[in-house]
Formats: sequence, C-alpha cells, structure tokens
Amino acid sequence: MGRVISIVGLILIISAGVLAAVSVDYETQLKKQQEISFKYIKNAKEALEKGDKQQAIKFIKMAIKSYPDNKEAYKLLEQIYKSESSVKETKPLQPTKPQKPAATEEEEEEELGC
Amino acid sequence: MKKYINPIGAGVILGIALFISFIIAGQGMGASGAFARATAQIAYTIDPDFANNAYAGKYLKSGNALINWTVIEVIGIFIGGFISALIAKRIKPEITRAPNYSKTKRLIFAFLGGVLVAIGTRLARGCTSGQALDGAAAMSVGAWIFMLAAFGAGFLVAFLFKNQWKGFK
Amino acid sequence: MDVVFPLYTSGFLDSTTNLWLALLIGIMFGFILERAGFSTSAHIAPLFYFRSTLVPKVMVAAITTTATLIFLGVVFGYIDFNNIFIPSTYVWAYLVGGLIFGVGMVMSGWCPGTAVTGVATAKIDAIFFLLGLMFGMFIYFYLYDAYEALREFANSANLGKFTINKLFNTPDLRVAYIATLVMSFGLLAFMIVMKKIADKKGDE
Repeated sequence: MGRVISIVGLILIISAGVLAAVSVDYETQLKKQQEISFKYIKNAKEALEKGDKQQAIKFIKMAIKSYPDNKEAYKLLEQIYKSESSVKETKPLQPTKPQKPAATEEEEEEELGC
Repeated sequence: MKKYINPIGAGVILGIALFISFIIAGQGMGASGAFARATAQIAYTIDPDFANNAYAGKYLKSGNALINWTVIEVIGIFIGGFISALIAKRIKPEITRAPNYSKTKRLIFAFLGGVLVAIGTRLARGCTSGQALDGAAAMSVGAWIFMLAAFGAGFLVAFLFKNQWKGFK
Repeated sequence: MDVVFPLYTSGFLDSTTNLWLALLIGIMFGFILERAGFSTSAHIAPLFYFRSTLVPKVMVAAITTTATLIFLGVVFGYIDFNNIFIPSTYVWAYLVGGLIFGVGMVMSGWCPGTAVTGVATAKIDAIFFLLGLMFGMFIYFYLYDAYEALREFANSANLGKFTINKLFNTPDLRVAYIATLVMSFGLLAFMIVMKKIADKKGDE
C-alpha cells in the first residue's frame, strides 16, 4: 500500500517537472529571471525608504546577477553612491558591473557548504 | 520494533525536506562540514596556533567555528534520529557486524573507514549528503563525479570487507 | 515585499533565524534518515554487494524530487537559482576524494550523516566511525597545511558552479534537469539489475 502511494507520488512529481520542461522554453526562463531581478529592485527601493542602504545594495547586486542588463539597477546603484558621497563628502564609489564573481564572493560561498 | 517505511516514500519525503532546506537557507543538508569544524575548534582549543592552519584557519576566522548552519543542522539530525528511533523503539547499544565477526576488528575498520571518509570529504567538499545528494539535486556535475567515484570504489574493494557483513540481508 | 527564494541567501531572512531553522531542518533530516533505516550500517553496507537497493532508491527518489521542485521553482520565477549554493566542481579532487570516500564507506559501513543517526540509536561502531572521521579531518588539516602539492591538487581544475547544462554549453536549465532524471534513474536501474543478478547467483 505504502509502496504504491510512494511510487505514484514520485511519478506525479516528476511528471509535473517533465511537463514544465516540455512547455517552458529558454526565453521564458530568461523572462522569469528578469522578473526576479525586478522583484529585487522593488525590495531595494523599500530598503532604501527604510534607510537600509547596505541591504539595498545587496538586493541591487542580486538584481544585476539575475539580469545583467537591468538599467534600473545601475541607475539605483548610482543614486545610492551619489547620495552617500554627498553626505560623507568622500570620493564617489564607481558602480562597476560585476563581470565575474569576485574572489571574495567565491570564498564566502565556499564557507556555506558542507 | 516498528517496520521501516518504504524507500521510495522515504526518498520523496527526504526530497521535499531537502527542497525546504534549499528554499530557506539556500543550501542543502550536509554533515561532514560539521565534523571538520568541530575538529578545527577542538584543535584550536588545545593549541591556539591552529588558527594559522591553511585549511582550518578559515573555519576559525569568525571566532567560533561551531556557530555555523551545518553544525546546528547536524545537531538537529541527531535529535531527529533520536526521536524517530525512540518512537520506533530502535535504540539498542550494539556493534553492527556479521554474527561471529570480531568486535575489535569491526571497530578498527569503523575507525579507519572514518579516517578515509574524512579525507575524501575534504577533497570533495562534502559527503554523501552535502555533496552527492545536494549537488545532484541542484543538478551539479561535480556531485555525479563524486557519487560515481565513491560507488565505483566501493564496489571494487567491497570483497575485502565481505566478512564484516556476511549474513546480512 | 516581493519575496524571492531561497529566503536567506536572497536577503529575506536574518542569519539568527536561519540558524534556528537549521535545527528544524536537521531534525527533519535525521527523522527521515532513521525512518528509512539508515541508522544501521547493516542497511548501508549491502549496497556495495548488490544485496540491497535501499540506498539508491532513497537517494534517487530524493534527488529527482528535489531537482523537480527546484526546477519548477526556477521556471515559474519563484527561486533565484544564482542563490542556490552549489559547491564548485573541482574535477580531480572530486574524483580522488570520491574514490577514497567510497573505500572508507564500505570499510566502515557508514557515511557522516547516517552515522549521526547511528549514534542516536546507540550504535557503537558509529561512534568509532565519527571518532575516526574527526581524526581524519585533523590529518587532512595537517597535510593541507604542510604540503603545497596537496593544496594545489585540491584546488586544481576548478570549473566553478558547474551545472550539467554547462557541460552541453547551454544556459538552458531544462538540459540539466532532464540529464539529472536520466542519470538518476539510470543509476537506479543499474542497481536493480545488479541485485537481480546477485540474487540469482545467490551465494550468502
């Protein structure tokens, strides 16, 4: 009894996955990634309203990672850095496009694992 | 003793738990990392110079190596395993081995096997759970390299340890 | 707030809560491992003699279930795959590490996760395994620190976060997903066939 339910359950789950794999093409995947990117932007703005710049920058970086051509993300990043430099009157930081994950980021990821 | 649940069912439930782990923490469930950290912490307590160790140093950088997701999760594994075994009345001190097999030999093999497993996990950045299960579930190539190598080596040398398990089903 | 999964790595969960949830996740994991019968090496070791298909059944069902759910989450735009932690693929270190691991596993009858549940059910060999595990960790720390060659080897051939689709030079995750299904069920089929053969031979 338990065996039948288990196997049917597994087959159902996998069928859903295969169905999705058949029906969702790569363009849709990209579009969903862009949607996620804009979700991050929205959250970054909310974080900014709360005055949490650090969190906002984190969100924007992730937005760029999931959609590297997200213009809104770069604009927002520039805004943050500009406002920061006018307040602190320090050298403006250049918002650079992260082409490849930085070495420190890689190390941080390594830390997460098993 | 209660019966064990169906393997496929257990796998599906395990898969759902693993998925929950992934969508909450962003990582799957591990085990070996916790013991690496525990070892690093113990060595550091005995000899603070250990903080300069090329490998263990990175665990000790943040102060206490034990304040870590995997370590806490492994404590959870122990609790979860204990609860399940308690309900099923499966807690019984024993040395798992073939009947008549030497206890001392079995324990030595268990220990030496542990040493090899540890070295394997450090090279492969994880064990059966942290690397093979999580990695394969996250569709990584490395997990399959590790898994196939581990199974392959196991099949190849299994005959050497046959007597330990003779009579098991 | 528009939530993106995974909660922690996407910045929707603070690290303290994440650590508490780790305990719950661990409890689930331990409970299931014990339910499945992984708390005794008597159920793990027979895998290597094709006497039991328990381990591959549980693993394959788990891998395919999780891969499916992750895949669905990604294609429907709920999961940010960038934030799912996947260990970087170091080809040679993984191959050699896997070989050593496999020998250790058949020798001891345990792997780290299952041994924890083994200790929870008072298996003395599991305790010895974990002691050996920690001793082995110490040996590795020492060797890694002492020998440049080991450091080089362990970090050579790093392909980064290398999902199966990258093997086929495509960013399309569907390839990785289907390949995972094929590999998993291929492995399971192999194990079932080998068990059938071993059963026919029938010596002890």
